[in-house]
Amino acid sequence: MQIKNQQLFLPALVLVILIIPVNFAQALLSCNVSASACTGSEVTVFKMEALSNSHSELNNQSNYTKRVCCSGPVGLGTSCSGSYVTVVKLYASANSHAEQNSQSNYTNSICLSVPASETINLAYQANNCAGYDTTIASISGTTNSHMGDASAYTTKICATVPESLTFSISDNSIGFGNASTASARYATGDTLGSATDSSDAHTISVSTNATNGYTMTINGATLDSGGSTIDAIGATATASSVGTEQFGLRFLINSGTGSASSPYTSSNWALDTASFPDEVASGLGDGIVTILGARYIVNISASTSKGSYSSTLTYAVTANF
Amino acid sequence: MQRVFSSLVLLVSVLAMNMGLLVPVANAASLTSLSDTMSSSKISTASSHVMKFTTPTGASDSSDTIIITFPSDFNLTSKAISSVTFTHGSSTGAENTETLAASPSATAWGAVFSGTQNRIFTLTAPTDGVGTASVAASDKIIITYDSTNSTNASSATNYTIPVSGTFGDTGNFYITLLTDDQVSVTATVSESLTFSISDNSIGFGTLSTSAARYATGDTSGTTSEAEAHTLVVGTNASNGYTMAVNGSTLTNGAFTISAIGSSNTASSAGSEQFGIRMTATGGSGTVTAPYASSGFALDTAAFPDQVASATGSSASTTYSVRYLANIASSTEAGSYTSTLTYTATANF
Repeated sequence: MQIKNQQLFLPALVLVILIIPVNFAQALLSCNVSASACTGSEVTVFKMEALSNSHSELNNQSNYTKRVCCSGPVGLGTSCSGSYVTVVKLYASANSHAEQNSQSNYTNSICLSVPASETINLAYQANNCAGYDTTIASISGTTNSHMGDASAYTTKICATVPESLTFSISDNSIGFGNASTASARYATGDTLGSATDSSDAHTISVSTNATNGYTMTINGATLDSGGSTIDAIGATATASSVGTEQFGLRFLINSGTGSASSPYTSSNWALDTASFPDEVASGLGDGIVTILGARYIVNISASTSKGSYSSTLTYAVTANF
Repeated sequence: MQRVFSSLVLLVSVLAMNMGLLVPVANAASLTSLSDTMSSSKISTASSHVMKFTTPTGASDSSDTIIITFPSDFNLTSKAISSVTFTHGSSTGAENTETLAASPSATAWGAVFSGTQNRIFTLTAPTDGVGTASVAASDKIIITYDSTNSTNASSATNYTIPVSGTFGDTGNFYITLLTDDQVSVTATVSESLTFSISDNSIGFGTLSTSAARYATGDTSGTTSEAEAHTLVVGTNASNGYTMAVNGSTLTNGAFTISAIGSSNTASSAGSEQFGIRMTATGGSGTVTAPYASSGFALDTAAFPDQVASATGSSASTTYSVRYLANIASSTEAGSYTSTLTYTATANF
């Protein structure tokens, strides 16, 4: 009878374990083994014959039905170049034993890759994948091994894609040279300025894999020389007006998926100092580097006081995870 | 009987678990929508922080703490809690402002900086768990540091700022520090004087003893007063500028048409008169007497004679110049010309 009572308590205990809310962090990278095709944004990393004690094959083979599917970061792939990790190596492309990535016996690498601005980390860890986003699979040994799903073997194949934010400015010192009442001047990286709007004064590179992307703002003040200022253009994108005080900027998207924010996105110019810090650009959390080309214009009027003018503009990027 | 009791225990356990009657367990979860907006991303530079996140669980128990831990090398030494704000709410996160104090009370959250260079900031819930308003599940939270005694780390790299505490939710802010997050823009404005004349050749046409003639840009002249040309002058000289006219009156060989002189004089048909007047628009330039009134003048005796000026730096002023010619019955026939030279002098 006592044995029966113990048998009764066992399912109760199991039930308690199942119901207690689990502390978990939302995994950026998530993997599972599926008996059917990987869905949606999932990538097929490799395939297995069974959930345990299994031979494996590359993801382009068609002999096995158990697919290791991963998803999460935008741009996740299975490339073995760029920013990537080798998950395991196979002896052959199909019906194959596997070995850990530190071994050098097999040549058929199975990889997970992310965009160049991000990193992906992988480790073989005993018992669990604590400290990592997800368990890709498990492996029976270091080489000549069988594989299985996350619970099959003690050695887990763990991976994580850390949150990332990159931000850089190509040139911190630009200039217009001699401003003129007769023609507009455009800032250049050599500080001499140009009479034509033909090149970026500097570029800004931004990327993140933050869930909600990023915003970039500008702060500071307009051009000033000992209290004499050159008027910032303001909140409305405005064409160059020779002979009228104007200090403004605009942004071009040289590459990437980010975008300039209004009013800095058109062929005209703006500088909304009244809204400082003012948003000038934003982008997705896709890990793709956006390079913004920053263009600056100055015009002066006949009455603009002589002097050496300067402005220090501060750019800030906030990732929204 | 014992088996019945065991079954009852199981049933009660299952019901209790599903009804939430057992010992409370922390419904810890991952924070969402984390962002840290800084006033400066430059290394070793003072920066403010606006740290936002959404708490799935909330923090409404008096034992709840929310802890923000800055990484090594960030320096918040002497950071005062008066330079920190804590707000929360269901919509913007700014709806409810909590009072911060050294120790929690019924009306205030405890707020304490600790650790090396004050990198650890611990908020402890009010003794009633409420304060201004209970931090409910799904509330947005905004914690701000001003830039006073808040100095960025000295290495240009990425940093993780974890959020933890007994309220149970966890998450990380991610920020990047740059060697320099600023762009210095320079421009030079030299001393300048702008001066232009719209038309260098004007004319009266055929003069008459019975009616005044006014010069026009097409040299044909007209019987009603008209602008012959404009002069545009501007300068950034601190003492402004002066503009003068020089030359001579209308001449035909040895014959001349008399210049009006130094007094502003109305047109007088049948009398020899050659004169000018100006009006000014824009900038701060003004027409100088005797050329500013409705009559005409031409003080050749004072040539080069000042016709306009500005006392300080001036945006471009446009001067509209009008020319008058009258002749007498004795005025010799012929083609008369006059070359007038305008000069503008900046006074730096």
